[in-house]
Amino acid sequence: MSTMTLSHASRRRGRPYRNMTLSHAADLRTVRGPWRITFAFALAAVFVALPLRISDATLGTLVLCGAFAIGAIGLNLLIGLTGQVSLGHAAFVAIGAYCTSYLGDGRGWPFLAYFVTAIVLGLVAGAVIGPFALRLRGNYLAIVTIGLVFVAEHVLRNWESLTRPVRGTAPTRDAAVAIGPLDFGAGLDLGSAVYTREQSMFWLTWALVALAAVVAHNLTRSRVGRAMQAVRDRDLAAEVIGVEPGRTKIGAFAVASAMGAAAGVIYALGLGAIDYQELSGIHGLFMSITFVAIIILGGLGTVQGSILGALLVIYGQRFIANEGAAMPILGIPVERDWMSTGELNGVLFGGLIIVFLLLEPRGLAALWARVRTWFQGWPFSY
Amino acid sequence: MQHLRRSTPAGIAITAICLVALAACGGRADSESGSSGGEGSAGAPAEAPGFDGTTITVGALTPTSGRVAVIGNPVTVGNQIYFDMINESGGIAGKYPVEVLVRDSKYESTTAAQEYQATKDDVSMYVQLLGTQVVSSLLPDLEQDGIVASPASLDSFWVREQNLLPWGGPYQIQVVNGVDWYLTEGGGEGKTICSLTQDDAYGATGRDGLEFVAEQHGITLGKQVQFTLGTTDYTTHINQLKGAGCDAVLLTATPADTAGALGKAAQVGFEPQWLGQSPTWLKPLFEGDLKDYAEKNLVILAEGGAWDESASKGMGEMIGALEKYAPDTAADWYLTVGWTQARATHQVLEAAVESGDLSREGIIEAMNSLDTITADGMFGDYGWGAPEDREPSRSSTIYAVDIEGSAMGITPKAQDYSSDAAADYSFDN
Repeated sequence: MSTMTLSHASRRRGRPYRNMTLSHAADLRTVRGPWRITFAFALAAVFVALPLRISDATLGTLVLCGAFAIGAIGLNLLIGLTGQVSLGHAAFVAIGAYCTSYLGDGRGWPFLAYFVTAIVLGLVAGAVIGPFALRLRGNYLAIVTIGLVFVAEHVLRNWESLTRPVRGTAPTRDAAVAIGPLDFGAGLDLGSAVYTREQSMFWLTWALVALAAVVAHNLTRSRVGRAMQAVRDRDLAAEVIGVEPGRTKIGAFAVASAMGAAAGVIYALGLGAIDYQELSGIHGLFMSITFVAIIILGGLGTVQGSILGALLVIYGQRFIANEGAAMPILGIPVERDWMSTGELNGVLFGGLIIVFLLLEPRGLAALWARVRTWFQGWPFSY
Repeated sequence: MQHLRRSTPAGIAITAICLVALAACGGRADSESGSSGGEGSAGAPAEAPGFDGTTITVGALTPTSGRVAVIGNPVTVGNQIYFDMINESGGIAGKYPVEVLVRDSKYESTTAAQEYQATKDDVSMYVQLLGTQVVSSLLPDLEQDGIVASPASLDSFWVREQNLLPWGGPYQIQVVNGVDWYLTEGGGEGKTICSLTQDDAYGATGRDGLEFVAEQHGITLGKQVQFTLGTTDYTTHINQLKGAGCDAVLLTATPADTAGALGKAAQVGFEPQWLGQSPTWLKPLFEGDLKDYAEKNLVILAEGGAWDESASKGMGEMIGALEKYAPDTAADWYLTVGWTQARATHQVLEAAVESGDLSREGIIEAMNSLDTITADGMFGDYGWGAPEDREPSRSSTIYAVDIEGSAMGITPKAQDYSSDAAADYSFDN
């Protein structure tokens, strides 16, 4: 924004420019400016209306997108904001998923009970892992966190009563998903209107995404958030100015893991049954990498980037699976065609990461920011 | 700025009003994607999920990528060529052509669950759900949605399930017959029998059968080793088996893992009698260095006969259809699986069309009304009816590996082998 534009706009309105922050109270506001308020209203309208317009199958995919978005928001606090690389996020997702299966489905716990238990267990697990980050950084930390998914695999494989209670799987579809009178699991019944489980789960999931986003957003602009960024940028300097790197790193791990566990609950509810092999070992590592890819594609260190990245990666894969069969190069019998939709998904996933890192390393959030800046600077946008 | 701050409570109120108003715009009842429609008047079935009045769509959730695509692809070709043949004569009941909607499950239950949700409203039933673990995790959904699926998996647990359409002798029966054959005819009397099995629901089928037959014969089993799908190094597993002095090893795996395990065994000079369940086999993996080792030490426990047009009516039709509709596809035992599944699906849909009801309930009712599900001699007939009356074939074929002598790479060594132990196996879970 050029000075000329600022002064011109300010003079025209007879008061300081709309984006100028004049007080601490103004600086603390979550939503700033009329356009952002309008945008928030539009999002709320989409949130409410979307399930009434699209199929249950698509809603099911969006529930999974929401689960990944919650996990990615947590991971973004850890990687994007605090600079601590983690490739073990799937292990924390597993905590939430197995709380849902064991406590929710198996023991009949109410939703809030197993959901909160999952978050607390995730928080504790993160706080236990966190101290490793005190002595390690960068690549070394990444390798240590990879170890998490393999330790998880060993534990889960041998804990049969937890991971394979029913015919080799851990069901979650009978877990209660009710908050007070609102039963999202059976489908909301508001008297005049009855909604399907998928519609109801969409509302619950994306409300939780919004909650996670607000928590993360508030964290980033608080003292804790500034401490996280200071640790990321130079932890020695941070210590000099009074930030405790140890506490900050452990806190970041704990919050990220808690959000990972919350994501695990939604993930498990969205699928109906879980398989430990998908959440640990090689597959778990792939899931962790997917989380990292989501925040890279979405935008490191941004809340909205985590959500946009989850939509791009998870919904994108579903889109290809749905529409890929119509593409001429794809087909099922390998003898007749040269690539299946599953293989195309893998290729596009890899290609997308390469293209983004080359062309827009700051991710989808930066693309959005660029559009916003262009409008803010209008008519002097360049 | 003050103005904006004051407006926040009002904003919340407006949002709340908007949300309530929008939510009140109307709900969508559960039944919309469920079992509406189906029964038509005067015998013509009405539109129903997967049936638009002219074409019947059936689903196939199968791995088309990943390690198990080598099984999924030929099974799907088997499904497809059967319906190509049927469609050429007009389709089901000569009137309704069948389309197969194929989705990649990657042999992962989580991916399969997503694909199931994405396709369930677009199909009449599933002609193929590949993988014991996948079927196991989707079964409650099938029950809830009232959808019938034919598993490309032979767990004995499927026999009594209302929503499943199994088509051959269960894995447990394969193992019971195979071990019985080894003990009585294969020179295995007094020998130590061990196992190397996948650590999931599929692996459990092998262990179940092995424990049952051991009890029937009063023998003590040797070392039981499990592995995880996708294991890259079998050194530890093979050394455990070798160290335990195993004379025979039951192998419950998929082809890539079979090749990995046998390759390591050949390397360390471990030569037991390998008894591989049907999904362990894939000819191309044994055409190279492993050929001699496999021919000497491996038998495959499956069902069926030789790859020969004259072997049975079903086999003759399938080989003809393969030459016509997929001439580039090599002979493969899994084609017979896909063909038999499609044959079973055809019988169910034919009965549903005949009763004029292609709804979810109509299909289940039509399925239960059948007395027999036949594979035209390719596999044994399946006694059908209500779930409690179902009786799968209790005979198996022990195949020897014969890479050059057989198009499938395996040739019957003991065809239609039935043991007393298999006759005693109960399918009541």
